[in-house]
Amino acid sequence: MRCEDCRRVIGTMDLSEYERAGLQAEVQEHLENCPECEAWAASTHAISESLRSGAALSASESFTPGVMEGLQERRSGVIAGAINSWFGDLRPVAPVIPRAAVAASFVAILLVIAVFATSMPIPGVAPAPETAPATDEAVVTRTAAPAQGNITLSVPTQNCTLDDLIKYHQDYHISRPLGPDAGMVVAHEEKY
Amino acid sequence: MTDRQSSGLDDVAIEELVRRARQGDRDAFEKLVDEYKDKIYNYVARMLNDRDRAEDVAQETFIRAYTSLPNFRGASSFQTWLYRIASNLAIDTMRRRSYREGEFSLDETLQTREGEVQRQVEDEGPGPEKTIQNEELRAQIEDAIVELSPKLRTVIVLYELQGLSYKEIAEVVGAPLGTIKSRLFNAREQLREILEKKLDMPVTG
Repeated sequence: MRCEDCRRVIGTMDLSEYERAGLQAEVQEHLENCPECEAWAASTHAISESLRSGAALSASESFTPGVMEGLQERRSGVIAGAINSWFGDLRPVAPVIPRAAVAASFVAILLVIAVFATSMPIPGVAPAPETAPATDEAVVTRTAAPAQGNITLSVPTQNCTLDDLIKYHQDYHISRPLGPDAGMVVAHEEKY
Repeated sequence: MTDRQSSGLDDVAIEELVRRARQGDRDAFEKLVDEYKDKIYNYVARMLNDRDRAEDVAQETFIRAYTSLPNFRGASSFQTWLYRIASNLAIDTMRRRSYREGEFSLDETLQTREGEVQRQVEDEGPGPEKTIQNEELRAQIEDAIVELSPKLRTVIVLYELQGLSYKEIAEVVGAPLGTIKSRLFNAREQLREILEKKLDMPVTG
């Protein structure tokens, strides 16, 4: 056995491994006849033994509580991170007010404003026109309250022909054909 | 090979705790932390050679493990999986530390007339001693381990100090068995060279 092979066997195999591989006798014979490899093997053994003989270090008493607190903080951090991503770099108003409380107040104020805005009519402004079912061909808008069952539909003539209207709005009776001007009179809820 | 710090719970109990922890049971996870904290702390402390920093990194290991539990499929043991997380965190910490301190990369090699060799830190300690006691040798070896590259340090600490088998180390590192053996061989060789340089004499038992 060459020195290189002997060292490779000792350095990469467990004792049991090279015993199984039937190399023990060969390695032993080489070591007995090669003082350099014998010294090498002794120092490898000394390094291993020294490392293994060292006392294992133990974690402190506060280790586990620290992990569990860390988990809790990480969870809070995730929530705060999500809030920050929604509201930007939101700073707490005061150190005693948590960031989440500030964000929650902000959301509540927005909700109150939205509820009032939708429920209160604005004086002098007509209600927004009601939109009829949309099609992919044309937009038909009900523009005023019907007079005697008729309503006026404002039709964008450039996008819609009479055939289109019949095809997509069969719930409306068309009383006159489309003209160059926008708008036509139809009878509401009657089949064409 | 057996673990240096033996487990108090058997495999079945560990699996049950892992299953419960995956479902969000924090008490179960707390028991797992208690079970593995010494092993992970010891490993990280040996890797970093800094006990204070090691506690933080070891705790972070468990926090990462908890948040990643849904991804744990049980292909390897829970312990191996923990070591993998700890290993990655320890190596990241080493790299950040050397970057912050303006040091060279621990993985960097030097080009010499003899070829490419692993970089070694010059010893600034006391001169060689004539008689080396085992305890002193061990302290010197622990110092020398820090001079190894992260890859070599990982395998020698896992094998010699943590008592993992080659197969377990291969799972932790994500490298083939042959690579692990080769790294272990190189780690021992470099340790010997570093020690002989430090001690100015051959290392003997």
